[in-house]
Amino acid sequence: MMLDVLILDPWQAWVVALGSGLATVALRIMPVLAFRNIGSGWFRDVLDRTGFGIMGGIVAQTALRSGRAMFAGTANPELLQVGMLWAVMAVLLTFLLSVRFKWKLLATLSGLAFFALGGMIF
Amino acid sequence: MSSESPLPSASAVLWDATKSSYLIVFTFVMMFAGVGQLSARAGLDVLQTGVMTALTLAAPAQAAAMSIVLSAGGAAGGAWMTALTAVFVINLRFIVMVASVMARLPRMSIPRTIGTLGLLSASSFAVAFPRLVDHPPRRPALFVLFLCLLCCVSAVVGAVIGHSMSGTVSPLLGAVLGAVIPVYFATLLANQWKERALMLNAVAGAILVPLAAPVLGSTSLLVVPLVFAALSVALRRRTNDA
Repeated sequence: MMLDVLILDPWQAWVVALGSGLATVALRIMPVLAFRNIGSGWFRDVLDRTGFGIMGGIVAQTALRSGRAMFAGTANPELLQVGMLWAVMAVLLTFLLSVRFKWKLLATLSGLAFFALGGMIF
Repeated sequence: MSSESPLPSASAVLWDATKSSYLIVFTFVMMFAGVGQLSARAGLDVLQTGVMTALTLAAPAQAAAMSIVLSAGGAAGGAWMTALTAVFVINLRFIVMVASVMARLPRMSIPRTIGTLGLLSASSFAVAFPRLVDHPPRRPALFVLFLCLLCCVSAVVGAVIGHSMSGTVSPLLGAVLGAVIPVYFATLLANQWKERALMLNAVAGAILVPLAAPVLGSTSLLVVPLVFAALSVALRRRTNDA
């Protein structure tokens, strides 16, 4: 893709690209250096629970974002909310199918089909 | 005489990681294609896009950075510094993710641990962590390493493809591809259905993180689960002591 206008100077583009990457790698290295002896006590319990809390948060946020994106082109704000609600229902359906039948791929495909159905219906 | 079977080969572990992550790999290619398009519009060349993606591996952070550069519209505004700060703040969550996964791995040297977890992304975390808690692979560190590498390669491939693409996908297709992540992660959470404490924290995260996001911004994904987990552990210890 050719650019009509140079938005960043070349050195600034490198600072953003490399700086973002290296800063993120540094964030990943930090706990490796700081928490060497996590062991199996309460601290690991907190980390386990935090991990699942983060997963729940990722699921909710990405579901809401996808639901909103489904009707991003529409001028009707109510449809955005319907999309978000529909996405949450798709996630719940997937979760229930996965719990009930121990499915993974089938539950995922069912959830996606339900989600896409919303886009076609509304 | 030991009754333990020999450790699986590296190729068997790679196959295991591939089976666990193929949906994420597919989604990453699509998702990072969007990031690649944004990077091209913001003025990054293909090498810069590839380097940034390989090391950052965070579509929301990269998209935010590129949006900041685009909306600032020029070098004079110091947009590069704002973009860098945004990436740093959004990715603070990796501190806890890495610590959580590390706590489930056998103790290794610092270089090996960094080599294993240095490219952890939110998605590789979401695939690896429940697996390590539920039924850990026989070679957990190698499993996590392969998982991270698969996600990294697919992200870079997607970003490079997106960088050289000018077309866009339809909103519905884009939304459905975006929905692969929450829908698939829901099945990973469902594996832990019987672990009440973990499920409670997952549900709390799902409800509280979006509610706190308007106030806390991107740090809500780090702060809210951490505070809730600390409180729930403190409450349990207090109940046990009583």
